Amino acid sequence: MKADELKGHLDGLILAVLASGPNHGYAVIEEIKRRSGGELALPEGTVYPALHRLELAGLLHSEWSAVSGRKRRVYSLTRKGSRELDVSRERWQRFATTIEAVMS
Amino acid sequence: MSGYLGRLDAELQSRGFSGGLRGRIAAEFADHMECDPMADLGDPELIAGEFADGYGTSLARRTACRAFLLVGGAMALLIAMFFDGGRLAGWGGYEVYRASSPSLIFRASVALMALAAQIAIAASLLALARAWRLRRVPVISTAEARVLNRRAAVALIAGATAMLMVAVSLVWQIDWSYFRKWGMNWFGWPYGPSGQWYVLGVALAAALAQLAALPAVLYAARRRPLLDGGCGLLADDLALGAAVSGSNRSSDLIAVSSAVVLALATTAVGMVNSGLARAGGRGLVEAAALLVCYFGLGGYLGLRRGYPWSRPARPDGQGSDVEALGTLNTDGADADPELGGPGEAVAD
Repeated sequence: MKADELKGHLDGLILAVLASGPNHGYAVIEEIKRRSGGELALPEGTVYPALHRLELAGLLHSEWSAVSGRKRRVYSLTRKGSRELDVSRERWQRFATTIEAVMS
Repeated sequence: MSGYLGRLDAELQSRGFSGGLRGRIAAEFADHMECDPMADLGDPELIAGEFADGYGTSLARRTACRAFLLVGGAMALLIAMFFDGGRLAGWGGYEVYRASSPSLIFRASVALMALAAQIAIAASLLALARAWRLRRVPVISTAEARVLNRRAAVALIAGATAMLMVAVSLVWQIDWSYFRKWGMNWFGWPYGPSGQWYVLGVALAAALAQLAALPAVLYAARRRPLLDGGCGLLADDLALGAAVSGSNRSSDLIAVSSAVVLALATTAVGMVNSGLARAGGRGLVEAAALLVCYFGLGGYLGLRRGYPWSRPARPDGQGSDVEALGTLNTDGADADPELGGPGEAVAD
């Protein structure tokens, strides 16, 4: 799937991955790839601005951790982020159902 | 790795990011590259642009909300001070004011205080309304961010001016012999003839608090998003506009209607204490001030497109109307001398 097609869904994808537990940027990208069977190949650098944006919106919380002597920023979902994820899922379901109805 | 991080850091710096935030971003990207040395992280310019979009949007909304809270608090104090004819502020009431022959400085400070307070209240409410309307937009346009920052800046400057004018008006009223009498004996001050000194302190503190918030607005202006797109008008702020690209008609109608309502309300309230002629005159002055502010500041604050005296647009879409739109409907390429252009390099 092309990056353009993912636009608009990236926030929801990140929130969905972080709903499983706190993680860092690289792991979020890898998890999206894994869950999509490699179909969703994100432009990797664009995930970080999205993570920062979601944190600014209060949907994510982040803190430093140390791994092998280097700093790592770990993100976790806030309560507001969980609510937003529910909204994103509902919106996606409605969108997918509508498109499915038209396409089929 | 260091080459890519260096380019990213330079791009972030050129977009006004502070050293601390750049360090955080660099550490995150370095960690990513340690995990996958072959990772394709993308063009540093585009990545930095996406960071700028996110932070610019968030900062613009936050400064608008912060300006509303600060100005709202200051104006609540102001209203409390002058609710009872200014007795709390040590004026002794309007009757005393009318009976006395105040100096020109006092008259000017009171007039400026009244005007600045109204501009501050209007600009802060409009900043909040625009921030609320855009609350769910992930990245707002450059033009919308500019309007948010301008409204916040105008609200804070006008709010600080109003409070400074309170201080100036009090200087005219304060009994300076009281200071000589009590000196640094702070505990004796509340037993004095009035709380003028305290009001003076509160007014200066409120003015300083608002002025202290201005650097944050400038900081937000330097890091605004670089997204093309339109900008709503007054009608959109009030959820009455048809579309962002609409004409000035709805916004102008709202402003004129508001002026009429203000004139009638001021006249009605004024008639309780004075005659129809006097109250009506004050109502007309209030309405005229509102319209002057609307047409004078409307283009700057994103209430309407351009100014009434702008030349009409030529059929080919060129001309001053387009230039006037340039204050709102521009891409991110133009520089804004008042609040900093998006393309300019900003030092930490």
